[in-house]
Amino acid sequence: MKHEIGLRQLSEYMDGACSSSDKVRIESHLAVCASCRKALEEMRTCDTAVKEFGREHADTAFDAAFRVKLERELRMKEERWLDGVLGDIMRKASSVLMPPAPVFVGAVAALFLAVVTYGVLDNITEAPEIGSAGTGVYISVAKTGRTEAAREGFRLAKGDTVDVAEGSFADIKQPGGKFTVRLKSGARMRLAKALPKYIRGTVSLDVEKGKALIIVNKNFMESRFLVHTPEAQATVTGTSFIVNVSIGPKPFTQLGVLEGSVNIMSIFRPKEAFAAQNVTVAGGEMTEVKKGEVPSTPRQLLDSEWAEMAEFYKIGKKARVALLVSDGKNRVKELLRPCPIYISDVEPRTLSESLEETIRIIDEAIKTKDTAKHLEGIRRLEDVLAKYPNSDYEPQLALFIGSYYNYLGRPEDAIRSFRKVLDKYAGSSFASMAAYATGVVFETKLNDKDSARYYYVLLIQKYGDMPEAKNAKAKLGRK
Amino acid sequence: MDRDDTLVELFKNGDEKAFNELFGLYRDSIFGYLCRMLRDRQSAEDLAQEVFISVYTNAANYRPEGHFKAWIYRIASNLAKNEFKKRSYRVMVSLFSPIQSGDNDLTLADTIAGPGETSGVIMERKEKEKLVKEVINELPLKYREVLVLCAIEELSYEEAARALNTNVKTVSSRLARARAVVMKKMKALEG
Repeated sequence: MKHEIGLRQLSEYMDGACSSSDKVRIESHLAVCASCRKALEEMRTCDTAVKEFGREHADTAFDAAFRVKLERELRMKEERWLDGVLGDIMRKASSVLMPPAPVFVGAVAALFLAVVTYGVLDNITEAPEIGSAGTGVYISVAKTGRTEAAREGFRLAKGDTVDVAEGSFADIKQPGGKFTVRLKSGARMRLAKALPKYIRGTVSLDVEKGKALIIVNKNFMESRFLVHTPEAQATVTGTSFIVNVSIGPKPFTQLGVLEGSVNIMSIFRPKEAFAAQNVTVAGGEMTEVKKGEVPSTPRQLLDSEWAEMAEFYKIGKKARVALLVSDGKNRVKELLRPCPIYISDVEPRTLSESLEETIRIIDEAIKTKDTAKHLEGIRRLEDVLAKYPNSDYEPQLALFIGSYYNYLGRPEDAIRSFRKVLDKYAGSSFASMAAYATGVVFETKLNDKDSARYYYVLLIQKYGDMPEAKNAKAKLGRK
Repeated sequence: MDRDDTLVELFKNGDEKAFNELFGLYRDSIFGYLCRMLRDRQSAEDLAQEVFISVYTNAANYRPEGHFKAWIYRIASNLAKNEFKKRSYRVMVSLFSPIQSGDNDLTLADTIAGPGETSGVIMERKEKEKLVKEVINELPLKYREVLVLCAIEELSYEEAARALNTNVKTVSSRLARARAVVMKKMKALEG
């Protein structure tokens, strides 16, 4: 008998997925063809077995595990959203404020960028994490005050201290392979400053004792890498280096360079004298800094020191510098220096719909020069603040909103927003900027010199050490 | 609006219970599909959880046009394909791999018996189950996925086509081919 139907048609027929005309045709054929009937029967039997035994059921723990994962994901999404808020606000800061801005708006924008380099870094950092560690490695967590055993993937936060027991080790790596640190037997290291997200910045490590081999890779080019020891500060920009700390009866720091060069200076000298006492250590050389003394003239590495540094090649691609440091009590506080900012424009953005809409409105307002649209954008930004009243980003957003109002010629609203920063975050590094901005708005936009003077004086009295105080003094001097 | 779309709409309006209901409706199906795709329970669990996280966080993007089933399976299918890419350099240990050699191919899964089953029945069912799973697992991916979606999870050809981002004709021909291979192998294995 000629078989008019193929396996595919039989399969479709079994699933009820064929057309009505095909169905009639197939059924007519099946009525007279025993082999096709048998094939259909076998297919059904086969399908029944597949259906019965092919099924799987999730374990009872599946639901609980899912809930935990979901909560974690939602928490991370919220954090990403806040990061996104800041990133987009900062992008808008340059596009809204810079191009058509009068003098003051430019100044506020510059202040805003300074905020980024001074304050935000603490809040949005890319934390390095433990890559691998032997036994007896503990982390003193600054935030909780607790000590935890190091485990792979543990994210270090600013202020955390890693202690390595004798005979053990810990590798710490930065996401993206920007740097790697190997803490050797008996070492102790504190993460004084982590690398900021989105922008160029500074990593600062306090090596208190023991040996630490540090490799900074080439993609670190735009940021600074500092290592503080009790006696010295080593600065590396766009190169790689290693720290090695050991305890001795007479505190001293040694710096050995494998490749490239590293700048090192004593930390006990008056600041003005530093420039003259900086020592640049080239590849294959080492220097020594005794407590309170200037670094010694670099000398060639000994064979034994070369041999020790060979370990670099096991933990990184290309190591260049080795720093050998002794123990000591005095520490040098990290220097905060403004650096150029870079904002990542990674797509897709993880912003909520409402913020995307806000950004769209601001974009449109800039394009059409529509003040009402600008104000709508500001109102929406203020809604963000209202929704997240105590977020880490509140002072930055408030400062931005203030400068935005000022740009739109609404000085009273600008002052209201600046004062919010000044009142609520009086102890933060944003406060001095808010005080200065308030004074400038009073002076230049409202011609209220008395109020301006009040804020300049307040700034000098309360935040005399901040850079804005110098500007305020200059302004008072002119009057 | 069908049941699934109604639940999604309720969830989009803040009704968490609606999501829980969707989760309950599709949990085993998605897990089962991923199990057959990945041949590894642990990875399937992880990915199935990812699927529901994706549904939870992306529900706002779903348009209620009656294709929720295809939508959720498409998420699962995409995640599975990503997992295959990762696996190209990883060695997997499956729950269905023998625990140790010389153990009559006893697997970890086999050690968990169902309630009320006698040892003889268990053995017979286990044999058959093992055979069927082996046959399915040996199918090339493109045949395996349509067989699992249509024959086990009972998606229509249209739903499977949407889930796999292909057309109905392709689903139909692959399904027929998958069935032919399964029939042939089962015959051969059963002697």
